[in-house]
Amino acid sequence: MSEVTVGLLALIITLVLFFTGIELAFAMIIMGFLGFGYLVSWNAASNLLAKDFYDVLTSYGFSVIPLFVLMGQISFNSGIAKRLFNAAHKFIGHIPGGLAMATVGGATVFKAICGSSPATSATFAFVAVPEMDRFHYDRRLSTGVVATVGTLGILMPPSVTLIVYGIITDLSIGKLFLGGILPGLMIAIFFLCVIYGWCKLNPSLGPKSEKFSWGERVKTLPEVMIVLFIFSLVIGGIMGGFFTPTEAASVGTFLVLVLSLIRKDMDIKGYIQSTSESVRSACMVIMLIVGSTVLGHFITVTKIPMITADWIVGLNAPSWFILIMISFIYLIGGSFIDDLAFMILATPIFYPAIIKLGYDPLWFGIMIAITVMIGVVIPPMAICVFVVKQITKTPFSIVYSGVYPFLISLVLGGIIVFFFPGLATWLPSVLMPG
Amino acid sequence: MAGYLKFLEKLCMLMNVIAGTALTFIMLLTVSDVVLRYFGRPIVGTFEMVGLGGAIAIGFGIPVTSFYRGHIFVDFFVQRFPKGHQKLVHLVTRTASCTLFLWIGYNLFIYANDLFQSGEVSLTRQIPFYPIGYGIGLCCLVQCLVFIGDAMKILGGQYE
Amino acid sequence: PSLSSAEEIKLNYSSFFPAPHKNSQLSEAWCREVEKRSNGKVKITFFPGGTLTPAAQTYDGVVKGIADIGQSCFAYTRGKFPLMEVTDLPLGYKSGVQATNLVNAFYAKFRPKELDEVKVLYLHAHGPGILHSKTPITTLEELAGKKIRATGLAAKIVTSLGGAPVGTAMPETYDALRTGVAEGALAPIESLQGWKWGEVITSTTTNYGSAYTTGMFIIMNKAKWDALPPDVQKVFEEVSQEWISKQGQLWDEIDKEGMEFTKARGNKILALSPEEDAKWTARVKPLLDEYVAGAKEKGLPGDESLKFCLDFLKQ
Ligand code: NA
Ligand code: NA
Repeated sequence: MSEVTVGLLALIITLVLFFTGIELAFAMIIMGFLGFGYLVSWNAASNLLAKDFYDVLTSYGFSVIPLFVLMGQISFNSGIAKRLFNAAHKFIGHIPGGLAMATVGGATVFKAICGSSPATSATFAFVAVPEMDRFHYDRRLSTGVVATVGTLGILMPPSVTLIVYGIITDLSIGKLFLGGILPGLMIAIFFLCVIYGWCKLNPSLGPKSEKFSWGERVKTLPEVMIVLFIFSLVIGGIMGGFFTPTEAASVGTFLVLVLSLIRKDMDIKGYIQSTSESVRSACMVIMLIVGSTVLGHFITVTKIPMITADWIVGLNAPSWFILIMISFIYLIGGSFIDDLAFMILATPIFYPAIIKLGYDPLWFGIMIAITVMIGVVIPPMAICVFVVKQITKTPFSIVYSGVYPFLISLVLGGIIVFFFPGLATWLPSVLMPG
Repeated sequence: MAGYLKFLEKLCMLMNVIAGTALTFIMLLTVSDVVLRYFGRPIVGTFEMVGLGGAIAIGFGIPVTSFYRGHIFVDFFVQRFPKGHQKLVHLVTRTASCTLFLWIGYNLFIYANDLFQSGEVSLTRQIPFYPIGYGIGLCCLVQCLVFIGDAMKILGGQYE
Repeated sequence: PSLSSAEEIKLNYSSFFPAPHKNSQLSEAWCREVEKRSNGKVKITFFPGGTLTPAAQTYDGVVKGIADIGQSCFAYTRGKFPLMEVTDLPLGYKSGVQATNLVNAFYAKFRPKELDEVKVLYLHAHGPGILHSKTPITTLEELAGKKIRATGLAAKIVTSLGGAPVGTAMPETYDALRTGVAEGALAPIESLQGWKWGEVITSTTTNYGSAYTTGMFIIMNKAKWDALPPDVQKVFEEVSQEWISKQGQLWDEIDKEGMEFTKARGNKILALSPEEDAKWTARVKPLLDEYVAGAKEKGLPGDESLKFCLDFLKQ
């Protein structure tokens, strides 16, 4: 059997294994191990297991995932989240789906700091879904929102995806950050429109409340002022260069913890419970990363990414068709392998072709980012959807029926940026000419 | 069987608390580093200590996550099977997972031995790496005990 | 008669440099040259960007056969190479050619036991690791208390010079410099272009007297090496020898490009006065002593190896 055949066969078996009820991460590790052992050597494959496990667990970047989840947990257990949602309810509860809109805003900021889409979805699945339950929101809407909002931060600075793309392609990272802003805002607005339109059509999804007077609204402010102050402190600290976004996980969590202990909203027992639950949610996300790392190393030695890329670039087809094919490859590749790892693998191969076809490299980077956003919410490896399903104990069918409308607006966003490249290139050309 | 499951839960919870403590440690460490850095006296090597602490936070959390079936799986297909078939499928996946983690644990011990022999240490603080390797290896072995517990639950008809 | 594909020896080569990096292009060229001169007896697949083995796992990955050939830095696995560590010290490097020649000469002379598990093909080392910052720095006073991005041994250099080392991951460093979490970074000047730091710093200090380097290896799995026919082994040796000078020159070439890149952005290149440079050199001296003591403790010739390096750099 050729390496490519082995690779494709292993991927198919992995998908079949998913249906046996085995943990997805374990299925990926098993197939990655068997494939690598068959193609390279069993000794090497055994050693690879240990190395990949060790490497992912000790990496600095993944260490902060449980901390971000912990910030959400403490907010939930100490009632901070409740107060925030009560205030949001008083202010925008009269708009159909208002609380879902507030969640979009909160999660976008959170993801921009946290950097991990699954961790954002995990946190908001814990915090926002029960709150929306409280206001009788339909689970389709609430889980659909939290499963997709985590993706928005991929376009917003400081996006690690864009940083890595800039380094690979030798483009200015500052320009890429600027390029992501308009498409990111556009898709965020689409999300809000989806929520509004969907709730208008079906008011039971996100029931609107009466309109509250400004007096009643202002009364909720003292309760949330201090929390909003902490959040602005964290954002300000990042922008002002006092700490990095990864460090913000610790600083933010620490501040929320101190606040909760001082206000006696939470005791030490509550804190221990919060840490225990955060560790478990983070474990769930990180085991999937381990699985995709082992499987990814196997796929790498099959050379499938390189061969597919060479094939597409060599196709004698119209340029738009090649571009669509390339997006498609990113979509599938990013599903099995960690999407950042896949970008490092595939971008250098596609990049010269994109330039040759006459496309703008900066615009291509934004297109790739949108493709990655779509990739994390569609099957087979819809990590964010899985995470939300697991935490909220909601059936797949329900989460998915909530995800579709948002997915459509992501795809629509991609199409618009495809036909109007100016959306990505205009801001950088004005603010950072030359 | 009840005794074994009781013991297993206690063990997993204990490891969960260790994991939570590690998490608290990296939080406090980072906050101290950020504050002290402002005064020009950062805690040198925070970067690598957070990485190692995170390994404990995640590694020690693996068994408890499995104990409460917290890892992501897809069961809508299996649920359509008759009860007897379901049991069989679950037993097979538990056995496969148990074998996998035994093998990972064993290889992590070998890897930790290599780290010990070669004297590999962290870049700045020169903290030896091998204890972390043994630690994660141990977590994988405890994970196997969880799968044995799962098998008991399946045979006793208590698995979901 | 041409060889059938069954007789072709297939090898995987893992490197942590990103695919478009000039180092990766040079490594690819090495692969093609070996293939050509062996008359197609070997076929090497090159995996850049750490996609097959992450940088810190590459050495051991080659030992265990995950990759057949690997390229990475000695510094990523601290303690594993106690003798080779000497070349990473702030010995006062002036160029990539000089640093590359030194590591190879050092290896040839001392043949450190720590590398016995693998076949060493060739080594190289980057040009002078110097200070890049958001505000001009030309004195130790100006550097005092400044937050400088550095991990590993470089963190100790920062501490010795009176700065405050900040450990951020490489991809995160751009943003750390942009926002001011880090006010500077230690690196060869090519990083200003390669990692885009030139966009977010304003000046480079050429503190050559206390400049460091990072030794890198290209190694091969021992069993795979032993299995090669002698004529193919000879090809590997010859091509690798030729690549040492190419590699050294490449480091200097991309340092020059980095220099032009940062100048074109209006950033300053600041030289230290001879007295100031001497002060900086004196400040990092204890790190050299620390190495000697540590090596002696392990029964290694610390004194001799440091002396060898310092003498080599004086030439
Ligand atoms: Na970690
Ligand atoms: Na997907």
